[in-house]
Amino acid sequence: MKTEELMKQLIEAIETGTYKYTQMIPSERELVSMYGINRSSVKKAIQHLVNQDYLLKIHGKGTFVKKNIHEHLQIKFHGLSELLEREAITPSNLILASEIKKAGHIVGQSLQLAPHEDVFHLVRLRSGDGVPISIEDTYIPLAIIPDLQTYDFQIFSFYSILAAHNYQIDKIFQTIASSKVRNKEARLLKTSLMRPVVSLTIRAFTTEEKAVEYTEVTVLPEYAAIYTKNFHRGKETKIYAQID
Amino acid sequence: MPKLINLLAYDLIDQLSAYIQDSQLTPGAKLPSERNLADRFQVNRTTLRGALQKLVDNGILSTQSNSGYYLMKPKFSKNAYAFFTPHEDPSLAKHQIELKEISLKPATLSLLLDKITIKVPEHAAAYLEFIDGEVLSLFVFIPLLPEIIELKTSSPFQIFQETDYLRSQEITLSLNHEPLKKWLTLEEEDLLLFVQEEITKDQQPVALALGYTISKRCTIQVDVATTLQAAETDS
Repeated sequence: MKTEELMKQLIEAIETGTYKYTQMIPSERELVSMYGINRSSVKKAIQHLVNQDYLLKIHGKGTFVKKNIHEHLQIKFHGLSELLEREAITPSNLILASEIKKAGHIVGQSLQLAPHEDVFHLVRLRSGDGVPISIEDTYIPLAIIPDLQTYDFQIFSFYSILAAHNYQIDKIFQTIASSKVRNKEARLLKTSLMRPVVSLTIRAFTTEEKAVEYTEVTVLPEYAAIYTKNFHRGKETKIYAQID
Repeated sequence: MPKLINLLAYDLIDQLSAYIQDSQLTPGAKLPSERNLADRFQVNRTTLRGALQKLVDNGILSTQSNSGYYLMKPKFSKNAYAFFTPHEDPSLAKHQIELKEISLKPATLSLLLDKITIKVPEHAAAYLEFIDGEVLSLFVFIPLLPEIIELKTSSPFQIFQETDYLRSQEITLSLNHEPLKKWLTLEEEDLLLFVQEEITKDQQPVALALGYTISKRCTIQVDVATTLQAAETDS
């Protein structure tokens, strides 16, 4: 078997959903033994598919499917990383906590869950060019993607993972308010204690009106516009995260 | 892994919020003492104070030094798209709304426009927004075209609801509220949400609207439908 043939096989596996968007494909060594071809042909085939945007290779992690075969589910709502990249700012993510817990009162109400139902909870410090921007405290009903904890949020955004699971975000509700940062929050954001910040909540619903995300964002005022910028024409509203 | 964030604090804030809701305290009511709450939730006073402080910072509780914690009145909610036209805001439909024109001194105006790269305009108009008799916001309207200046209406923001106009909005905090203290009866601790709206027609700037709203009394809501493409077919 040659490079071209392996490419054809891999493309077919991606197009038919055997290898799903945002998932990791077998390692080079595994492909060598699966198809009985030499390592350099495997490397070449993967490189070609990376160039054609079928695959994404992350050094030290593996090779992931980058092509979303559900074209219409291609992201129409961008997460912070994509918004920063658009402005030529390099995004980074520090995961402060990741756990599965009971929804509780506030999160339960926001996600249409009973307080005892499980949610995946992810707390992230978001930075741009190494400078802290915000703390995002995200809750996702565990029932919608039970293996959510196995995904690498450094590589694919939550919105991509949702799209990969056929959930289309249809409505976003943002509530904008203010708060102050103290102690740990202030230290993480490298700012002074008691500093006023914009605090906003984001709730995302699918076309079936299912709540899929509740996020509390604490953002430094100088970066708040990344989240809050929005456009109105007549009765139509768009947020910056929607504009392509 | 070093402890980067205290997850227990989140749970306590959640429990306190549930307690406040279930106890049916009315606005202005005093919460039980710190000692009582610490016993109830089985936490030490330092942890409890951290959680109460967060609720104060979020405008749910208020506190006066050494006299306990009080429940604040629920906040008003304003829709971003009707921020400057509160009469058209369904979130405020059950409230009494009044816009009162005021005259801002040029010095005040120039302080407000400090961060914005336009010179102090001659034709700016300013309004106070009252909801149920309470001052909530201050709006500044700055026309940038002669035909807009000639529009003498009681609410110049109205016309921009038409689809000819694109309104780009950014919402953040106003960090210099000194010039507005007189109008908005602010306390030292108060924060102001700041809405800046640029209005264009055929890509030409037409007007600028600035809004300052007292954040302990009001949140701003941005609701978006992400408009699915017509091309979608499968589930």
